[in-house]
Amino acid sequence: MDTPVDLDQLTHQTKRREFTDGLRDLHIGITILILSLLNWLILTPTGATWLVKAILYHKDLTIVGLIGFLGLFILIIGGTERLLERIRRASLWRESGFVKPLRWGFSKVLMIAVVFVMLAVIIGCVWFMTMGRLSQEVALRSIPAAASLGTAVFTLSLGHSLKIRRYLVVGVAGLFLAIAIFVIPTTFAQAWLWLGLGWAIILLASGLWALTLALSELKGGRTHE
Amino acid sequence: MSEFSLPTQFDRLIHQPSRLAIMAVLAGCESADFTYLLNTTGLTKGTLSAHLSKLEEAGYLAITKSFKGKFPHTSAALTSQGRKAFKAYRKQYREFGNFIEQD
Repeated sequence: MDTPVDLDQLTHQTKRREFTDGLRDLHIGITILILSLLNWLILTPTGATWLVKAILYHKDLTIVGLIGFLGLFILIIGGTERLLERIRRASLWRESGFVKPLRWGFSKVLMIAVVFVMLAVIIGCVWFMTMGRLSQEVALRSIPAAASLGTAVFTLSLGHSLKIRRYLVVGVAGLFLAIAIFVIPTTFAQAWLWLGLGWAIILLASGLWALTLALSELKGGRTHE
Repeated sequence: MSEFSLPTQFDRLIHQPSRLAIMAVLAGCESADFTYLLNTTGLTKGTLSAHLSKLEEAGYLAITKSFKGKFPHTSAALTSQGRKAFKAYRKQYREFGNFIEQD
């Protein structure tokens, strides 16, 4: 190797690999879907009443049940992570080699910026509410809207820094979702459901599209990435 | 010459193009296997092995050998010392590049 080495290109190419086959999008999309459905169930009047009754009348059983459920959820997340690795080793990355992604490969500045944007939106809405310019419902909806906004900013930044064009589309879709959650009159519980469903649909579509491309590249005999 | 290091002051172990490519790839992940390193660096198996050994001897990377089914599997990961050295190298490389562009 005598040619000059493009350090950033090689490092970014390796970081990008985690996202190019779409499996990570599918994994996160499904996780968000499960979490949002649970959140919605707990926040609906029926769900909330059931949970309060369960805690009041069957405290020990409810705690055991909740811990068991949490454990099951962690097992499912861990299991799908292993499954993802197996699929990659056995098929998608068999020819091109396996890469274990960085445990924490995102910039701290970006994470702080995302949290700052989310807090600014929520605090701004609460301030407007105290001044009587926003209703309590809208102010409450600003929480899931801010979550969508923060995720969109994060995805846009990731797409820009790693040069993954589909994440720019995903980020813009997330921004529209944030606006929709904030503007469309729904209850707090429904807003969380739309947040989860919206992001799950966006990520599943993005993941399936990337996976289709990766599989067709694999079929065509080209190495992935 | 206080604002940047001359290439002669660069870490020679990393400055060699093949090893630099290996370090740059590994800087983007927790670990990568031999096949991935072969594909991304374009080196031959023998050359890659030799460079990996040199970097391992210097303490810049850790090599793990195992078996996946019946097949041997080698993967490499940067150590914290390796990450620090690569970060320092990258900084020198950029500062020198900026100086040349300004000149």
